[in-house]
Amino acid sequence: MSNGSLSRDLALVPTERPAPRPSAALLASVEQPKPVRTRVPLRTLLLVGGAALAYPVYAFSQFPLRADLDALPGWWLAPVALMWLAGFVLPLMLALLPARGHVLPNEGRAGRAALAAAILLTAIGLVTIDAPGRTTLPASSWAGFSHWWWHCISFGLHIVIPALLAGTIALARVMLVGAARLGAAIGAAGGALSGLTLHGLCPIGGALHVTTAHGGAVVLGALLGALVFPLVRWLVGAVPFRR
Amino acid sequence: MSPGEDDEDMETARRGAALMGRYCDGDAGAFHELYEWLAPRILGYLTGLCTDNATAEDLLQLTFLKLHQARSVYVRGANPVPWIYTIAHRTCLDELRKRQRAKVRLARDPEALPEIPAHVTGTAEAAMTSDAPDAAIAMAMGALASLPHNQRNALLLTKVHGRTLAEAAAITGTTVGAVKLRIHRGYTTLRKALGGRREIETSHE
Repeated sequence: MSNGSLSRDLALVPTERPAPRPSAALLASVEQPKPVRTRVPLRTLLLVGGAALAYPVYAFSQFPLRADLDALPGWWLAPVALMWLAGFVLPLMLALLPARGHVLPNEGRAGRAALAAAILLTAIGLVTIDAPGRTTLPASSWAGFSHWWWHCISFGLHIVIPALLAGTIALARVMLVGAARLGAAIGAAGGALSGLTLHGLCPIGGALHVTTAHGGAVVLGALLGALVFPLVRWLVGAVPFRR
Repeated sequence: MSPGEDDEDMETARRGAALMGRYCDGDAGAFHELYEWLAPRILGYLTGLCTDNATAEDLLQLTFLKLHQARSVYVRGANPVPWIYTIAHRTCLDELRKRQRAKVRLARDPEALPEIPAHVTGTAEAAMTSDAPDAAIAMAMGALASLPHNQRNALLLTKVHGRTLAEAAAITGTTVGAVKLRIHRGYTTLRKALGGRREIETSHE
Protein backbone atom coordinates (compact mmCIF):
# COMPACT_ATOMS: atom_id res chain seq x y z
CA MET A 1 0.00 0.00 0.00
CA SER A 2 1.56 3.31 -1.10
CA ASN A 3 1.59 6.66 0.74
CA GLY A 4 -0.59 8.01 -2.10
CA SER A 5 -3.36 5.51 -1.51
CA LEU A 6 -3.10 6.07 2.25
CA SER A 7 -3.40 9.83 1.66
CA ARG A 8 -6.49 9.21 -0.49
CA ASP A 9 -8.04 7.06 2.27
CA LEU A 10 -7.29 9.71 4.88
CA ALA A 11 -8.67 12.48 2.69
CA LEU A 12 -12.00 10.60 2.72
CA VAL A 13 -12.22 10.79 6.51
CA PRO A 14 -14.87 13.39 7.36
CA THR A 15 -13.31 16.56 8.76
CA GLU A 16 -16.51 17.79 10.38
CA ARG A 17 -18.98 16.43 12.91
CA PRO A 18 -22.33 18.04 13.66
CA ALA A 19 -21.59 20.17 16.72
CA PRO A 20 -23.96 20.43 19.66
CA ARG A 21 -25.41 23.83 20.56
CA PRO A 22 -23.19 25.96 22.82
CA SER A 23 -23.57 24.88 26.46
CA ALA A 24 -25.42 27.03 29.00
CA ALA A 25 -22.11 28.03 30.64
CA LEU A 26 -20.67 29.09 27.30
CA LEU A 27 -23.83 31.00 26.34
CA ALA A 28 -23.86 32.79 29.71
CA SER A 29 -20.25 33.88 29.14
CA VAL A 30 -20.75 35.20 25.63
CA GLU A 31 -24.25 36.65 26.08
CA GLN A 32 -23.05 40.23 26.14
CA PRO A 33 -19.34 40.17 25.38
CA LYS A 34 -17.51 43.30 26.44
CA PRO A 35 -15.50 44.95 23.68
CA VAL A 36 -11.84 44.16 24.28
CA ARG A 37 -8.65 45.89 23.27
CA THR A 38 -6.89 43.33 21.11
CA ARG A 39 -3.18 42.64 21.27
CA VAL A 40 -0.79 44.83 19.32
CA PRO A 41 2.45 42.81 19.07
CA LEU A 42 4.57 45.91 18.43
CA ARG A 43 3.38 47.32 21.76
CA THR A 44 4.43 44.06 23.46
CA LEU A 45 7.84 44.36 21.80
CA LEU A 46 8.22 47.92 23.10
CA LEU A 47 7.14 46.85 26.60
CA VAL A 48 9.58 43.93 26.86
CA GLY A 49 12.35 45.80 25.02
CA GLY A 50 11.82 48.82 27.29
CA ALA A 51 11.99 46.66 30.43
CA ALA A 52 15.26 45.15 29.18
CA LEU A 53 16.73 48.56 28.24
CA ALA A 54 16.00 50.27 31.58
CA TYR A 55 19.12 49.00 33.37
CA PRO A 56 21.57 49.55 30.46
CA VAL A 57 20.35 53.15 30.18
CA TYR A 58 20.90 53.61 33.92
CA ALA A 59 24.31 51.88 33.72
CA PHE A 60 25.56 54.04 30.83
CA SER A 61 24.46 57.18 32.71
CA GLN A 62 26.13 56.11 35.99
CA PHE A 63 29.25 54.11 35.16
CA PRO A 64 32.29 55.22 33.13
CA LEU A 65 33.04 53.63 29.76
CA ARG A 66 35.77 50.97 29.74
CA ALA A 67 39.18 52.55 30.11
CA ASP A 68 40.72 50.73 27.11
CA LEU A 69 37.97 51.75 24.66
CA ASP A 70 40.11 54.21 22.66
CA ALA A 71 42.95 51.68 22.42
CA LEU A 72 40.81 48.93 20.86
CA PRO A 73 40.57 48.65 17.04
CA GLY A 74 37.32 49.92 15.51
CA TRP A 75 37.21 47.02 13.01
CA TRP A 76 36.74 44.71 16.02
CA LEU A 77 34.67 46.94 18.33
CA ALA A 78 31.88 47.77 15.85
CA PRO A 79 31.15 44.29 14.37
CA VAL A 80 31.18 42.70 17.82
CA ALA A 81 28.79 45.40 19.10
CA LEU A 82 26.55 44.70 16.09
CA MET A 83 26.56 40.98 16.88
CA TRP A 84 25.52 41.64 20.49
CA LEU A 85 22.81 44.01 19.18
CA ALA A 86 21.55 41.40 16.69
CA GLY A 87 21.51 38.86 19.54
CA PHE A 88 19.19 41.19 21.43
CA VAL A 89 16.89 42.31 18.60
CA LEU A 90 16.38 39.13 16.55
CA PRO A 91 15.33 36.63 19.26
CA LEU A 92 13.15 39.30 20.88
CA MET A 93 11.38 40.06 17.59
CA LEU A 94 10.89 36.39 16.79
CA ALA A 95 9.51 35.68 20.27
CA LEU A 96 7.09 38.60 20.29
CA LEU A 97 6.05 39.42 16.72
CA PRO A 98 3.88 36.88 14.91
CA ALA A 99 4.30 36.51 11.15
CA ARG A 100 1.87 38.53 9.05
CA GLY A 101 -1.64 37.04 9.25
CA HIS A 102 -0.84 34.93 12.35
CA VAL A 103 -2.02 35.34 15.94
CA LEU A 104 0.84 33.55 17.69
CA PRO A 105 4.58 34.08 17.33
CA ASN A 106 6.52 31.25 15.72
CA GLU A 107 8.05 29.67 18.80
CA GLY A 108 10.13 27.26 16.71
CA ARG A 109 12.04 30.10 15.04
CA ALA A 110 12.34 31.92 18.37
CA GLY A 111 13.85 28.80 19.94
CA ARG A 112 16.34 28.39 17.11
CA ALA A 113 17.30 32.07 17.40
CA ALA A 114 17.90 31.61 21.14
CA LEU A 115 20.13 28.61 20.47
CA ALA A 116 22.06 30.43 17.74
CA ALA A 117 22.51 33.50 19.99
CA ALA A 118 23.75 31.36 22.87
CA ILE A 119 26.33 29.58 20.67
CA LEU A 120 27.54 32.54 18.61
CA LEU A 121 27.69 35.06 21.43
CA THR A 122 29.54 32.66 23.70
CA ALA A 123 32.00 32.09 20.87
CA ILE A 124 32.63 35.86 20.66
CA GLY A 125 34.81 35.47 23.72
CA LEU A 126 37.21 33.38 21.65
CA VAL A 127 37.89 36.29 19.29
CA THR A 128 38.16 38.94 21.98
CA ILE A 129 40.95 41.48 21.62
CA ASP A 130 42.74 43.13 24.52
CA ALA A 131 44.75 46.35 24.47
CA PRO A 132 48.11 45.46 26.07
CA GLY A 133 48.76 47.59 29.09
CA ARG A 134 45.26 49.13 29.02
CA THR A 135 42.86 46.18 29.41
CA THR A 136 42.55 44.82 32.95
CA LEU A 137 42.93 41.06 33.03
CA PRO A 138 41.34 39.11 35.88
CA ALA A 139 43.73 37.62 38.43
CA SER A 140 44.83 34.14 37.47
CA SER A 141 43.57 32.80 40.80
CA TRP A 142 40.15 31.15 41.05
CA ALA A 143 39.00 33.79 43.58
CA GLY A 144 39.95 36.64 41.26
CA PHE A 145 38.31 35.02 38.23
CA SER A 146 35.08 34.10 40.05
CA HIS A 147 34.81 37.58 41.63
CA TRP A 148 34.70 39.28 38.20
CA TRP A 149 32.62 36.47 36.70
CA TRP A 150 29.91 36.98 39.30
CA HIS A 151 30.21 40.77 38.89
CA CYS A 152 29.31 40.55 35.18
CA ILE A 153 26.75 37.74 35.53
CA SER A 154 24.86 39.67 38.23
CA PHE A 155 25.01 42.74 35.98
CA GLY A 156 23.39 40.59 33.26
CA LEU A 157 20.68 39.38 35.63
CA HIS A 158 19.65 43.04 36.18
CA ILE A 159 18.69 43.04 32.48
CA VAL A 160 17.50 39.45 32.01
CA ILE A 161 15.09 39.40 34.97
CA PRO A 162 13.05 42.54 34.04
CA ALA A 163 12.90 41.29 30.42
CA LEU A 164 11.59 37.90 31.55
CA LEU A 165 9.10 39.49 33.95
CA ALA A 166 7.74 41.79 31.25
CA GLY A 167 7.71 38.86 28.82
CA THR A 168 5.70 36.63 31.14
CA ILE A 169 3.17 39.41 31.73
CA ALA A 170 2.88 40.15 28.01
CA LEU A 171 2.76 36.52 26.85
CA ALA A 172 0.93 34.82 29.74
CA ARG A 173 -2.10 33.99 27.61
CA VAL A 174 -0.26 33.90 24.29
CA MET A 175 2.09 30.99 24.90
CA LEU A 176 -0.25 28.09 24.26
CA VAL A 177 2.55 25.93 22.91
CA GLY A 178 6.35 26.20 22.97
CA ALA A 179 6.51 28.33 26.14
CA ALA A 180 10.05 27.11 26.87
CA ARG A 181 11.30 28.24 23.45
CA LEU A 182 9.65 31.67 23.75
CA GLY A 183 11.14 32.07 27.24
CA ALA A 184 14.57 31.00 26.02
CA ALA A 185 14.45 33.59 23.23
CA ILE A 186 13.51 36.45 25.57
CA GLY A 187 16.09 35.35 28.15
CA ALA A 188 18.80 35.07 25.49
CA ALA A 189 17.86 38.53 24.17
CA GLY A 190 18.26 39.97 27.69
CA GLY A 191 21.64 38.25 28.02
CA ALA A 192 22.76 39.63 24.64
CA LEU A 193 21.78 43.16 25.68
CA SER A 194 23.82 42.66 28.83
CA GLY A 195 26.75 41.58 26.63
CA LEU A 196 26.35 44.71 24.49
CA THR A 197 26.32 46.95 27.56
CA LEU A 198 29.36 45.20 29.04
CA HIS A 199 31.13 45.51 25.67
CA GLY A 200 31.10 49.25 26.31
CA LEU A 201 31.48 49.28 30.09
CA CYS A 202 33.34 46.23 31.41
CA PRO A 203 37.04 46.99 32.00
CA ILE A 204 37.89 43.29 32.31
CA GLY A 205 39.27 41.48 29.28
CA GLY A 206 40.50 37.98 28.58
CA ALA A 207 38.84 35.27 26.50
CA LEU A 208 37.80 33.18 29.49
CA HIS A 209 36.08 36.11 31.23
CA VAL A 210 34.24 37.32 28.11
CA THR A 211 33.18 33.79 27.14
CA THR A 212 31.94 32.64 30.52
CA ALA A 213 30.65 35.89 32.02
CA HIS A 214 29.42 37.97 29.05
CA GLY A 215 28.46 35.02 26.82
CA GLY A 216 27.43 33.09 29.91
CA ALA A 217 24.72 35.69 30.60
CA VAL A 218 23.10 34.74 27.26
CA VAL A 219 23.14 31.03 28.15
CA LEU A 220 21.92 31.71 31.68
CA GLY A 221 19.15 34.01 30.39
CA ALA A 222 17.99 31.39 27.87
CA LEU A 223 17.96 28.67 30.54
CA LEU A 224 16.08 30.88 33.01
CA GLY A 225 13.49 31.77 30.37
CA ALA A 226 13.09 28.15 29.33
CA LEU A 227 12.38 27.23 32.95
CA VAL A 228 10.20 30.17 33.98
CA PHE A 229 7.86 30.46 30.98
CA PRO A 230 6.46 26.89 31.07
CA LEU A 231 5.88 27.37 34.80
CA VAL A 232 3.92 30.56 34.13
CA ARG A 233 1.97 28.83 31.36
CA TRP A 234 1.14 26.02 33.75
CA LEU A 235 0.05 28.48 36.45
CA VAL A 236 -2.12 30.43 34.02
CA GLY A 237 -3.65 27.16 32.80
CA ALA A 238 -4.31 26.06 36.37
CA VAL A 239 -6.30 29.21 37.19
CA PRO A 240 -10.00 28.41 36.71
CA PHE A 241 -11.71 30.39 33.99
CA ARG A 242 -14.01 33.21 35.06
CA ARG A 243 -17.58 32.45 34.08
CA MET B 1 -1.02 23.87 -3.12
CA SER B 2 -3.23 24.72 -6.09
CA PRO B 3 -4.42 28.30 -6.85
CA GLY B 4 -7.98 27.21 -5.99
CA GLU B 5 -6.91 26.01 -2.55
CA ASP B 6 -4.94 29.24 -2.09
CA ASP B 7 -8.05 31.34 -2.84
CA GLU B 8 -10.07 29.20 -0.43
CA ASP B 9 -7.48 29.73 2.31
CA MET B 10 -7.50 33.49 1.65
CA GLU B 11 -11.28 33.52 1.87
CA THR B 12 -11.21 31.50 5.13
CA ALA B 13 -8.63 33.90 6.57
CA ARG B 14 -10.67 36.96 5.54
CA ARG B 15 -13.93 35.55 6.91
CA GLY B 16 -12.28 34.47 10.17
CA ALA B 17 -10.58 37.85 10.61
CA ALA B 18 -13.84 39.73 9.99
CA LEU B 19 -15.80 37.57 12.45
CA MET B 20 -13.12 37.78 15.16
CA GLY B 21 -12.89 41.54 14.68
CA ARG B 22 -16.64 41.94 15.23
CA TYR B 23 -16.57 39.54 18.16
CA CYS B 24 -13.76 41.49 19.85
CA ASP B 25 -15.82 44.65 19.35
CA GLY B 26 -18.56 43.07 21.51
CA ASP B 27 -20.86 41.57 18.86
CA ALA B 28 -22.38 38.39 20.35
CA GLY B 29 -23.82 37.49 16.94
CA ALA B 30 -20.31 37.21 15.55
CA PHE B 31 -19.48 34.62 18.21
CA HIS B 32 -22.49 32.53 17.18
CA GLU B 33 -21.51 32.79 13.51
CA LEU B 34 -17.97 31.78 14.38
CA TYR B 35 -19.28 28.84 16.41
CA GLU B 36 -21.62 27.68 13.63
CA TRP B 37 -18.78 27.92 11.12
CA LEU B 38 -15.88 26.38 13.05
CA ALA B 39 -17.39 24.14 15.75
CA PRO B 40 -18.05 21.18 13.39
CA ARG B 41 -14.44 21.30 12.14
CA ILE B 42 -12.96 21.68 15.62
CA LEU B 43 -15.21 18.89 16.90
CA GLY B 44 -14.04 16.67 14.04
CA TYR B 45 -10.43 17.39 15.01
CA LEU B 46 -11.03 16.83 18.73
CA THR B 47 -12.88 13.56 18.06
CA GLY B 48 -9.95 12.34 16.00
CA LEU B 49 -7.54 13.46 18.70
CA CYS B 50 -9.17 11.94 21.77
CA THR B 51 -11.22 9.22 19.93
CA ASP B 52 -14.14 9.70 22.30
CA ASN B 53 -17.27 11.55 21.16
CA ALA B 54 -18.52 12.68 24.57
CA THR B 55 -15.11 13.97 25.68
CA ALA B 56 -14.65 15.73 22.34
CA GLU B 57 -17.97 17.55 22.80
CA ASP B 58 -16.94 18.67 26.32
CA LEU B 59 -13.59 19.84 24.97
CA LEU B 60 -15.31 21.76 22.20
CA GLN B 61 -17.27 23.78 24.77
CA LEU B 62 -14.10 24.34 26.78
CA THR B 63 -12.20 25.41 23.66
CA PHE B 64 -14.75 28.10 22.81
CA LEU B 65 -14.89 29.19 26.46
CA LYS B 66 -11.10 29.59 26.39
CA LEU B 67 -11.36 31.44 23.09
CA HIS B 68 -13.81 33.83 24.72
CA GLN B 69 -11.50 34.39 27.69
CA ALA B 70 -8.45 34.86 25.49
CA ARG B 71 -10.03 37.02 22.78
CA SER B 72 -7.90 40.00 23.80
CA VAL B 73 -4.86 37.98 22.63
CA TYR B 74 -6.19 38.08 19.07
CA VAL B 75 -4.26 40.27 16.62
CA ARG B 76 -6.64 42.18 14.36
CA GLY B 77 -6.54 41.11 10.73
CA ALA B 78 -4.95 37.73 11.50
CA ASN B 79 -6.45 34.38 10.50
CA PRO B 80 -7.93 32.99 13.74
CA VAL B 81 -8.43 29.41 12.47
CA PRO B 82 -4.92 27.98 13.23
CA TRP B 83 -5.03 29.77 16.60
CA ILE B 84 -8.38 28.16 17.48
CA TYR B 85 -6.97 24.77 16.44
CA THR B 86 -4.03 25.45 18.80
CA ILE B 87 -6.41 26.27 21.67
CA ALA B 88 -8.34 23.05 20.95
CA HIS B 89 -5.12 21.03 20.79
CA ARG B 90 -3.81 22.48 24.06
CA THR B 91 -7.18 22.02 25.79
CA CYS B 92 -7.25 18.37 24.71
CA LEU B 93 -3.69 17.71 25.90
CA ASP B 94 -4.34 19.39 29.27
CA GLU B 95 -7.51 17.36 29.72
CA LEU B 96 -5.85 14.05 28.79
CA ARG B 97 -3.00 14.76 31.22
CA LYS B 98 -5.47 15.71 33.96
CA ARG B 99 -7.31 12.42 33.44
CA GLN B 100 -4.06 10.48 33.49
CA ARG B 101 -3.13 12.09 36.83
CA ALA B 102 -6.60 11.36 38.22
CA LYS B 103 -6.22 7.69 37.23
CA VAL B 104 -2.85 7.50 38.99
CA ARG B 105 -4.29 9.09 42.15
CA LEU B 106 -7.21 6.66 42.16
CA ALA B 107 -4.91 3.70 41.69
CA ARG B 108 -2.71 4.79 44.61
CA ASP B 109 -5.67 5.22 46.98
CA PRO B 110 -6.10 1.89 48.81
CA GLU B 111 -9.63 2.84 49.90
CA ALA B 112 -10.78 3.62 46.38
CA LEU B 113 -13.20 1.26 44.73
CA PRO B 114 -12.11 -0.40 41.50
CA GLU B 115 -13.27 1.45 38.41
CA ILE B 116 -16.34 -0.21 36.89
CA PRO B 117 -16.26 -0.44 33.10
CA ALA B 118 -19.11 1.54 31.55
CA HIS B 119 -19.46 -0.78 28.54
CA VAL B 120 -19.72 2.30 26.34
CA THR B 121 -16.65 2.62 24.18
CA GLY B 122 -17.63 5.61 22.06
CA THR B 123 -14.52 5.20 19.98
CA ALA B 124 -14.17 6.85 16.61
CA GLU B 125 -13.76 3.40 15.11
CA ALA B 126 -17.14 2.20 16.37
CA ALA B 127 -18.86 5.45 15.47
CA MET B 128 -17.50 5.47 11.98
CA THR B 129 -18.16 1.78 11.35
CA SER B 130 -21.81 2.26 12.14
CA ASP B 131 -22.30 5.55 10.29
CA ALA B 132 -19.84 5.58 7.42
CA PRO B 133 -21.08 4.17 4.20
CA ASP B 134 -17.62 3.53 2.94
CA ALA B 135 -15.65 0.68 4.47
CA ALA B 136 -12.38 2.39 3.50
CA ILE B 137 -13.28 5.43 5.62
CA ALA B 138 -14.21 3.23 8.56
CA MET B 139 -10.96 1.34 8.25
CA ALA B 140 -8.92 4.52 7.95
CA MET B 141 -10.66 5.98 11.03
CA GLY B 142 -10.12 2.80 13.01
CA ALA B 143 -6.45 2.61 12.05
CA LEU B 144 -5.98 6.31 12.85
CA ALA B 145 -7.48 5.83 16.30
CA SER B 146 -4.97 3.07 17.04
CA LEU B 147 -1.94 5.25 16.21
CA PRO B 148 0.25 6.80 18.94
CA HIS B 149 -0.99 10.27 19.89
CA ASN B 150 1.78 12.26 18.13
CA GLN B 151 1.48 10.37 14.84
CA ARG B 152 -2.31 10.52 14.85
CA ASN B 153 -2.18 14.21 15.53
CA ALA B 154 0.23 14.94 12.67
CA LEU B 155 -1.80 12.88 10.18
CA LEU B 156 -5.11 14.38 11.34
CA LEU B 157 -3.91 17.94 10.92
CA THR B 158 -2.14 17.57 7.60
CA LYS B 159 -3.91 14.77 5.74
CA VAL B 160 -7.44 15.00 7.12
CA HIS B 161 -7.87 18.68 8.05
CA GLY B 162 -5.64 20.02 5.28
CA ARG B 163 -3.38 22.18 7.46
CA THR B 164 0.07 22.94 6.06
CA LEU B 165 3.17 21.42 7.66
CA ALA B 166 4.07 24.81 9.15
CA GLU B 167 0.58 25.26 10.58
CA ALA B 168 0.59 21.73 12.01
CA ALA B 169 3.97 22.44 13.60
CA ALA B 170 2.68 25.69 15.11
CA ILE B 171 -0.52 24.06 16.40
CA THR B 172 1.32 21.20 18.08
CA GLY B 173 4.26 23.30 19.25
CA THR B 174 6.90 21.37 17.37
CA THR B 175 9.08 21.76 14.29
CA VAL B 176 8.20 21.08 10.65
CA GLY B 177 10.86 18.34 10.63
CA ALA B 178 9.24 16.62 13.61
CA VAL B 179 5.81 16.78 11.93
CA LYS B 180 7.27 15.21 8.76
CA LEU B 181 8.85 12.45 10.82
CA ARG B 182 5.58 11.77 12.66
CA ILE B 183 3.70 11.61 9.35
CA HIS B 184 6.26 9.17 7.98
CA ARG B 185 6.05 6.97 11.09
CA GLY B 186 2.27 7.27 11.08
CA TYR B 187 2.15 6.09 7.46
CA THR B 188 4.36 3.12 8.29
CA THR B 189 2.12 2.10 11.20
CA LEU B 190 -1.05 2.73 9.18
CA ARG B 191 0.25 0.70 6.26
CA LYS B 192 0.85 -2.25 8.57
CA ALA B 193 -2.54 -1.89 10.27
CA LEU B 194 -4.57 -1.33 7.10
CA GLY B 195 -2.63 -3.91 5.09
CA GLY B 196 -3.30 -6.51 7.80
CA ARG B 197 -6.99 -5.68 7.97
CA ARG B 198 -7.44 -5.76 4.21
CA GLU B 199 -5.73 -9.14 4.05
CA ILE B 200 -8.14 -10.47 6.70
CA GLU B 201 -11.13 -9.06 4.81
CA THR B 202 -9.95 -10.52 1.52
CA SER B 203 -9.46 -13.97 3.09
CA HIS B 204 -13.03 -13.78 4.58
CA GLU B 205 -14.47 -12.95 1.18
